[in-house]
Amino acid sequence: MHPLSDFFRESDKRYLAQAELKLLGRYTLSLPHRLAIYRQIRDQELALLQPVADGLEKSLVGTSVTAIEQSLKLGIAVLRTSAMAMLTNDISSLDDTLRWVRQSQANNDSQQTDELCFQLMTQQLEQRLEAAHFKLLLPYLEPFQKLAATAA
Amino acid sequence: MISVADLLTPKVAAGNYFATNTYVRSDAELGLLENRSGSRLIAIPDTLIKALYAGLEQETGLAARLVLINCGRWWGKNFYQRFSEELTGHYGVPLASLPMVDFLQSLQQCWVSHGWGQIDFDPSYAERGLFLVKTWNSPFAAQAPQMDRPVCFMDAGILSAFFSGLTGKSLDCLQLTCESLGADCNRFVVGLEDRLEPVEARVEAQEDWEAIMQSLVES
Repeated sequence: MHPLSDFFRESDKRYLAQAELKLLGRYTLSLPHRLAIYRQIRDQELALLQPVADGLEKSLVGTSVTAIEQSLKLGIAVLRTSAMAMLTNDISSLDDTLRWVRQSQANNDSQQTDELCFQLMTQQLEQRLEAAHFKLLLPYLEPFQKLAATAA
Repeated sequence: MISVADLLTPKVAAGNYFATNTYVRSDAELGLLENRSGSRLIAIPDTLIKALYAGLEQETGLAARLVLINCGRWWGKNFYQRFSEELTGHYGVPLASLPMVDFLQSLQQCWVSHGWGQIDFDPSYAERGLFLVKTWNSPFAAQAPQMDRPVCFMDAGILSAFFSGLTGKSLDCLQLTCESLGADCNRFVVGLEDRLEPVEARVEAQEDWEAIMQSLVES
């Protein structure tokens, strides 16, 4: 369930409490920043991911191009899903992509390549986004980093 | 050098078509469940699965197993067709041209989103013309009456028809292990009918699945 929907589920029964209004207010105030981050990622997707591809090729000598491309395709899905989850403040929307990544790693034994791919992608985001914006996005990238750490 | 621009096309970075939250849609007022391409889905309660087993047992006795396998075959035939159409539409290439990794992962996700548990393939026997398929948490195993033999007849029918559609050959499917008998997973072997036939009695007798697979490989 989307966290915002939780606020409105009982709208015919009661008004929001002070603490809930505060939470909603905080999200509303953060929305311009969230939109800016989302827009930046969308507009700079290629510029952001090409160094990741180059870094993977440089670090993983001997790994097939197909395997690296497979990790990059996952990276693209992770980046897009995380950006949307950040925009809507909905961490649960990552669940399907987390399952997708886990399944891919089980099928292709690609934990190491994926871990490096996600790490390089996070580095790129940290370099390109304002520090406060990166901090806002990080919680939506972390589940994928933790996944890699758990698998390793 | 890998060009990310080539990967950012809608066909390559196609994402997860069968993602549960995106794939299954509902309209409470109309009482409808449908998938993202607009095809109707039906929700089957546990009670209905139990009733199917019990009703068929009462009406057809020993033939219940065959009825369920044939139901599964019909189901699997249509399932293959729908799966093939949806995936072809999503990736923009025929199923046969889809990379194996994308095909396999889509099928696994599709299985999960339809509520059939989990599915995996053991590729060890593929070179010898046999598919070894593993499933977990099958609702058809969970609700089946306790028998002294594997009970996922419907799943076996679905898998035989699915792989027949995929390979263009008429294939049969035997269940080697069953969660209802305490196995770690349900194992099925899919292959040509005349190749599987000689081991049917051994499967019925619940012989060790690895020994049966070994005989099949050597046959």
